[in-house]
Amino acid sequence: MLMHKFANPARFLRISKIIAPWCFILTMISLVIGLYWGLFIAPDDYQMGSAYRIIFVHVPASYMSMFCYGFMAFASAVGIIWKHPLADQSARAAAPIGAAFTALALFTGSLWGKPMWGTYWIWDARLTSELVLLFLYFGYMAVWQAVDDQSKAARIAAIVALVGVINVPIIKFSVDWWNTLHQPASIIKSGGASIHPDMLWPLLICILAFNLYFITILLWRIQSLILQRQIRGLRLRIAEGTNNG
Amino acid sequence: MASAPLNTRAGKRKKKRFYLVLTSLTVLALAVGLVLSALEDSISLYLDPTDLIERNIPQGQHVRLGGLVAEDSFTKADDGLTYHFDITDGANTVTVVYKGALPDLFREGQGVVVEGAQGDAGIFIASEVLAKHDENYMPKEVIDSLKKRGLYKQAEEESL
Amino acid sequence: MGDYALYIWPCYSAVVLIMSVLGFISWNSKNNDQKKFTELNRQLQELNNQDL
Repeated sequence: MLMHKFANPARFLRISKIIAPWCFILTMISLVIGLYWGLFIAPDDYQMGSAYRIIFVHVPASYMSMFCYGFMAFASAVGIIWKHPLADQSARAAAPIGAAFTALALFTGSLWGKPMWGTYWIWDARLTSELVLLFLYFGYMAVWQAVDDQSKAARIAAIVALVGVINVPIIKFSVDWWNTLHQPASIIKSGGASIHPDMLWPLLICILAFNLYFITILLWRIQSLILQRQIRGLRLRIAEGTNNG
Repeated sequence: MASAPLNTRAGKRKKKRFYLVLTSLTVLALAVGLVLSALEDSISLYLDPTDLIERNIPQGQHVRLGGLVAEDSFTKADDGLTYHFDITDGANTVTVVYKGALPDLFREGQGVVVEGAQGDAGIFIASEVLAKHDENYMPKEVIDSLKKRGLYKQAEEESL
Repeated sequence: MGDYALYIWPCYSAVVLIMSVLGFISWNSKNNDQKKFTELNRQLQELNNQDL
């Protein structure tokens, strides 16, 4: 019932205009704390020294790259089944954010790989599937660009999003299913996190900050898409009005 | 929308679309799963020493070999550039020779992936050495104090 | 941070840069769309008033 009420575009605009500024403030606070803690306060790692500090941006970016795709696929499924424009717009709004997170995950991972592994890039299952994710985001965004009819674009894009969602569990479990150069999971795994609390806390704050960032930008982008739709409607009505007059 | 009764015509269509999405995804997941499991060998990045021996990889064939650098096996030749070390998976061990720069994380007891080919006398000639790091993150001070109290090995085993 | 600063700073910089740029673009286009919407709404109102 709550979902239903929130799903009304006009109501969504009203509520999100109240929520978004608060999300923005919280994003800034947690991001500054998290990044500063990660850069300057967290202790050096016993194996990697200070190089491991890249974890505080790499893991949140990678996690969000997958979370964002999951969100996009879920919204697309809702869009296909219930044919609600707000669901399609949510998925469309999430795509560039996810693409940015994916690019950052690949870039920071590459700069972490060079000093530690000895290479910027290797075609192992984890790295390759993350690169596929970036191309899925690009493909999804390209559909919206290429197809003029918005409702048709929404349907094709949603199918791309749903087909691609298979890749998300592949990324997550790639390090367990195949042998890779990339190490296995440190936080979400059976037997608890294998990372010391002094390093885990700043990491969790960074993950929270990236989540809040996602919500903030998502709300802004959905607002934009709703407004653009209403602008199209208004233009049509004005054109009709002038013609009739 | 979500709360619309499912016995109306629109409701039935929604239900149909829901099951269509669900079955398509399931079929797709199964297909991808089959393909991936068929390709398992080529997706895996490296062979471990047991694979290398059991599969009789011919001399000179380019492969990647991965495992732990065996304790007390690392030696530096007189030229200061050539290294010898053993890679082990617990069951089997392969001796590796490598000439070049080693990554910062390379050390005995740590994971490593080397690229190269089998040479004479069962020695693996590596052209590239990559270090693998494990999923454990610990402050230096914590390890130092554990070592001081002689608890380090024990702590490491507990974390496994 | 020693030798690794060369790798750490570009990572943090890229994160801050990309996130700021995407954030600014999203915020800016939302504001522009809002302005456009308000302006068109005003035009429509005027048109309706003329008709009356």
